[in-house]
Amino acid sequence: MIGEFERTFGAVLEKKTLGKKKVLYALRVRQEDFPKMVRFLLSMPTVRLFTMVGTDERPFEDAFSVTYWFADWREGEILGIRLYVPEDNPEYPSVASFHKGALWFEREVKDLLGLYAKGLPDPRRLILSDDWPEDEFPLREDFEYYSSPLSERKPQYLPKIEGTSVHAIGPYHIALDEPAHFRLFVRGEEIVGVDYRGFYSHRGIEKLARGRMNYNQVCFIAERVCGICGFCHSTAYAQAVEEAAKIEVPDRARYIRTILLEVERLHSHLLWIGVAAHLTGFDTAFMRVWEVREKVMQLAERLTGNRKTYGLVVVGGVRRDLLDYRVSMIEKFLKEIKKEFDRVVDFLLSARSFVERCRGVGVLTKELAREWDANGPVARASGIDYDVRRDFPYAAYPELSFDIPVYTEGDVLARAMVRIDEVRESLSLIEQAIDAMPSGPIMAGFNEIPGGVEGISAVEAPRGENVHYVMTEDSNVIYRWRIKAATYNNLQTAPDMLRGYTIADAPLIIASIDPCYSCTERIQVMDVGRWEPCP
Amino acid sequence: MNLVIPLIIPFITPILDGIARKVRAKIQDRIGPPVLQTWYDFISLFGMESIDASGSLTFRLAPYLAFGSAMAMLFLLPYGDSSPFGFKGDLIAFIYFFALFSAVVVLSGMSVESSYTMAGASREITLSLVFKPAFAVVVALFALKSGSLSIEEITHSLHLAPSVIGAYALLIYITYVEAGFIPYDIAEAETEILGGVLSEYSGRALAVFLWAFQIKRFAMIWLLSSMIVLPFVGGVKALIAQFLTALTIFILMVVYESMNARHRLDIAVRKGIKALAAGCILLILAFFGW
Amino acid sequence: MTKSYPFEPEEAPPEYRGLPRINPLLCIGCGACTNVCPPNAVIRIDDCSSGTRRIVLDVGRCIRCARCEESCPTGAIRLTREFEAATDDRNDHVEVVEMKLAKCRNCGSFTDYTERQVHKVLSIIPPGILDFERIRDKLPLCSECKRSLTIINASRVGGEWR
Repeated sequence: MIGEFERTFGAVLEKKTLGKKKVLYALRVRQEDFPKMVRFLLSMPTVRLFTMVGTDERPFEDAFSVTYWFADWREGEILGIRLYVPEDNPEYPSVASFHKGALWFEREVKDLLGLYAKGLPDPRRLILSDDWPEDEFPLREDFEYYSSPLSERKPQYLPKIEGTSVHAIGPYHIALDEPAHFRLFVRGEEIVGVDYRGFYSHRGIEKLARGRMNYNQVCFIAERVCGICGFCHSTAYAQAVEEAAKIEVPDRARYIRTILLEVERLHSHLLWIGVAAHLTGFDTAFMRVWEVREKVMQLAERLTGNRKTYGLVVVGGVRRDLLDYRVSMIEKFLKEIKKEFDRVVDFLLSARSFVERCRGVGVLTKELAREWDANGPVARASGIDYDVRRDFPYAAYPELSFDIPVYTEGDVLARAMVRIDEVRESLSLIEQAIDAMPSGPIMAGFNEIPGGVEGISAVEAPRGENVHYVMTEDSNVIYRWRIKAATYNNLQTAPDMLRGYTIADAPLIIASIDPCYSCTERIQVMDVGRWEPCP
Repeated sequence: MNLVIPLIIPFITPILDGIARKVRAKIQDRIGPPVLQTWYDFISLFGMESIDASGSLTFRLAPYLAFGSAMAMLFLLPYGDSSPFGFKGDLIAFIYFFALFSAVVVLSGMSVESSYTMAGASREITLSLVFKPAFAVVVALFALKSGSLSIEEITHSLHLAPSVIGAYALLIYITYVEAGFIPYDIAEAETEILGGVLSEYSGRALAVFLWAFQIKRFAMIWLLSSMIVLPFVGGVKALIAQFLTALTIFILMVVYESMNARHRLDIAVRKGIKALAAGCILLILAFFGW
Repeated sequence: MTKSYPFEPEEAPPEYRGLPRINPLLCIGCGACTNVCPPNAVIRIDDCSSGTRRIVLDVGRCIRCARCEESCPTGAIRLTREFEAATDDRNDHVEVVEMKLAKCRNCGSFTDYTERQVHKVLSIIPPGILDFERIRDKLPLCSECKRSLTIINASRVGGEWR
């Protein structure tokens, strides 16, 4: 991808190499060429829009910047194109006008930085609350992280489709674990249109990390982005910083990270299978799957000191070593989990009524999955053979062997099967990692993190890719940190998945993405003022 | 004496529900709540004020009408030797109250401006449209075979025939469906439409409605157990046998329930139509004396 | 699976990271924990008028990451295996360790370190490497006086200060 791109457009661009197979181009003149470049990149069958970052670069470039990152998953290459947007005319050409996957990115930049994409198909507010003033942009440098301006509440719902009634799922609904608001336009039981309003749990932690934390404290807030795949987030963040600062992580630390990433995948997939069973009223399977999951949770607790939110990753390595007694403990746990998991899956799939509910429901075609840049199990169930672990290797994955299950049906059952197969792969990965684990230190030695360097890194979370982008500043501070969770793209496919099915399917279809609203919205509840002691 | 039993039964149904919870918990490897838990829930619900979500009379009366029709179903059923209000044609009355119950559920759902209750009501209508006729066909077959429209007389004058055996199988299936067990709790699906018509009820009204559902469920199962027991046993023993059979059927149904996921409406309807068709074929067989 | 907790005790595994506690006898008030704590659950408050330093630990803010435990030079702050933090009084979550700040030998105002820190430093300096007595004499100096001492020493070679 990089070679072809450079041959075609290299002349007008400023090149900056970030690492092996990672390049960043700055486009300073002729912004109107930009859509052409994006079209050129996305016309390649294995290139996807990875993430998009808007940054307030006024202190050193005297302009805002938006950077579109593309990933070629066959070549393992990552390419960024940076546009500079002047403050007095904050506009840039829209990608969302011809590529659906960019829609939320551009809406987000509009909300948080006040940069407008010319030709944005849906310019409604995405992230900020309905009562946030129109002219306050929280990610700009001149906005203090603790201010909370208020104005009049102006909800921006889509108008109702003629001849339908609105069936609300959310903001709080029994089938949703987190706040999200789907407004289904229904005719009888059939869904003919969907409006989504989310980001109720956006708390601006990217700003918080910029405002008051050093690079190593961010690891812990990164882990708290998500209650399920938090370790993936902290690993992705640490990897991005390590890449920016050129820190070599010791081998043993890479293996320990791998083991914990897979433990997390186990618990997340088991949780999902249980939830899917519960949503179809199959509570026995739900309870039995969670019984297996409980073992995984106990394993995590023994390994890290916590059932969830392991808090083990720091920049440069991990904090706790895997002592010998823990290794034998893992083996014992794995054996039990494997046996029980097989039994539970047999039980679940032998219930015809459950399989009937999942088959042929919520179909996402391969074309739509490509357009929305779906990833993770959602993409793999729609026939897209893409997995960050294999295609952009990190931690110890290049040294381990594993299969990537791919199904082509694109329905809920396919997504369930991808996850069931992945549980088995995870179990084998943990076993391999334990066997192959080298000895040695678990922390790299390094000095200061240099300022003004950038890193981008992805981790295959249970629900897809988590992409973290980091730009550092002097004195061990992060200047810009951008989190893109898997659900960010996958959730955008939900309206297309829901259309044509019934109200009864809606909770199951929404859940089949394994949505993680907090990841997408970047939650962290925290009162940021200094705590004053009691007199 | 016979009048007393239907009056006692409503106080037993919450305990049966507690047993169901316990059985389900055992299957799911849990300890489960105490057997009296449903009673505790009712007592606390009765202590709470119920909020009038619609302001319409239908909405306020619906739980009591449902309770009334469920009780009427109980009074028409045979207990041991005789039924308290049994008369020639009480089967028709039973079907009438049975249908009234569904009608009340639908009306209460329609009386509130809520997409959840509306969905619940429309699902109830759809299900009733296939399963109520199927039930009627089974009943017609029994009437044809025994030459009577009284539940008690039918049980005493049934003769074994292929169509009668088929009718029994259908009756078991329809009882299961009408008792509202998963996969057929579609009209109240908790994770989809938040309990359907029940979603807008609270406090006392909710308790009465839930109670009515349980009584109706028991009445359906009691009818089935009477049809099974009474042709063979008579006298006081019959009452005990009826109760034990009902309990067994109930527990078996709970076990089957916990092995299944909820059907989507279209799948349930397809199954209902198949049942209806099977019933019609059986009826034709019966007509020709099989 | 169901347990009758809280009616039967539930013990966390040995690796568990629970509520942090400060051992007030070991704490020297250096504030290393306050620097690493991501959510600012443990903070340092100096009162220059009364000459006290308070290390305030608020378990309600703590995320149990154990960074404090790793950074503590004396092992004073530890994560226990306790996990039951529920209380009806917010103040139960707060643990305060108060200690005296060292007084500057020169100007008499309070320095920005504690007496215990001075003792700790003196106890870990290997004997024979430095002139012990001289250091003991000069140690409790505020940063202002330290700076002027350096300047005076540099300008008057061999000169005695005070």
